[in-house]
Amino acid sequence: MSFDVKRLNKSFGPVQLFRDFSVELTENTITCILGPSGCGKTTLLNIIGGIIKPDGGELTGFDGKKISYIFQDPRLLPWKTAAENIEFVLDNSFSPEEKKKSVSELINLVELNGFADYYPHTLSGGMRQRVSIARAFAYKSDMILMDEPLKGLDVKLKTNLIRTISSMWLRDRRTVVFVTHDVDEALLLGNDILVLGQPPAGIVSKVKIDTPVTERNIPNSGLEAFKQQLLDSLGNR
Amino acid sequence: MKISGTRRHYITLASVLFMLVVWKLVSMHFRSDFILPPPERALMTTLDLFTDQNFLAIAGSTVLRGITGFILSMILGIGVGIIAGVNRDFDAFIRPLIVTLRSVPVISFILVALIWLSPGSVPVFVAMLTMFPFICTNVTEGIKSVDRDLIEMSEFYRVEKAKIVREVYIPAIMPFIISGASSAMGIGWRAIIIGEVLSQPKYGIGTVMQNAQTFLNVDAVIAWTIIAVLVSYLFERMIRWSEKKLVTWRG
Repeated sequence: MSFDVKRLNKSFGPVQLFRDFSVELTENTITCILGPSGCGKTTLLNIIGGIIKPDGGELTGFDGKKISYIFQDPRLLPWKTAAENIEFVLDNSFSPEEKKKSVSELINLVELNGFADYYPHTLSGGMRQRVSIARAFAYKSDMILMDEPLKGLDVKLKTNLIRTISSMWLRDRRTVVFVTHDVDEALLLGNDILVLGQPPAGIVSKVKIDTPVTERNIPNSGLEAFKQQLLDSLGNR
Repeated sequence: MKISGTRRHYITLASVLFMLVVWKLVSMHFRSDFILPPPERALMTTLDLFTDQNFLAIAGSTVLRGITGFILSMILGIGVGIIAGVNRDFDAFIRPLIVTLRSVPVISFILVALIWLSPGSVPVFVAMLTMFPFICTNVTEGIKSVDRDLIEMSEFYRVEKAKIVREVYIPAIMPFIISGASSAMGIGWRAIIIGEVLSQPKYGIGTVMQNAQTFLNVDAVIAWTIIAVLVSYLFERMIRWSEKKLVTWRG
């Protein structure tokens, strides 16, 4: 089973972002969508998430599916603590005890032990994004959409967060769509990597990486070749 | 920081002393209790008021009217303010009314209310009308300032509408409600007392001030003024205190 986007059309004013664009998102994999800024990556994510209506085309496999979202900015409620922010998205299908358990488990997984009762303004940018990641995984969703969640963070933080995301992903292997303009991020996290060209966007390159996410390193011969391929396809457009 | 803090305290103290000295000098110049009694006399009269058997009834009635007017204007202001914040058309519709209410002289409300209402309810009505626009405008501004991204996030995670109102909108507008309440209270107490002066309910600070004025008891007028200022100050402190309790997350 998969999530399919078929013959998608979307324009903003005179700019046609997508013309008959199709993509298949395989279930239980991390699909990275890589592309230059302005190519419509975020728009595609918002169409998949149902925030933006497409002008035409078909989305199949999404009916009744719940979706988690990790935004560029963490979007935490400033009046709620880290734990409360995670709990906020849990509905009443959880009992209060289950909520508590799930929240503290996720706080540990994103390595925020001891910070559960901190308000967002007392946390660093990276910690806030961790809370937002924990929230996305805590929510019982069928798919997680990530819109450049590592943008603006320094390399060390990025690497840490990628490790966090991959270890959390391994727990239930949810379908993830990860949008980025950073080749290294895509290589470290993606199973399927799709490169979008300039609008109207098409898939200009496709890479499949089978190395488990936990065993990946950038100075690694296998990945180097992929990196060159991705950089070439980005550069050619 | 600490040093400048205590320094500012001294300046405040100096300012109060300066006012008392000027008061004393002016009263010495006129040498008439009918024009301006000396400060120590006014302060003694104020202390005497607390032992007056009717003190509680008088001050209590005024405070009760203030609280009633405040609660009514809060309910109305928050209700109307939320609707105006959510619905732009309603906002455009209600705005002229709010602006009018804000610019009408308090005395106009009182004069009309005197014809319509019983003496005891005139001050309440007037206080409500003067406080309402402040609370309403602040709530509307608060709703408009709610971060759209947070609402979008909540909708994305399919959080129920009622929960979004309770846990996103209300906390977001709380600081606005409190600052609205604070400015409303400041104006409200003055409106209550003018209302009482003119409507003459049985008990009320305004009633006794008017009586004192009739008999040229300037010291009693001043003494009750001091009580009124104290009441207003106490409520301001309470609002600040509740702000600390309700907006803890700001740190």
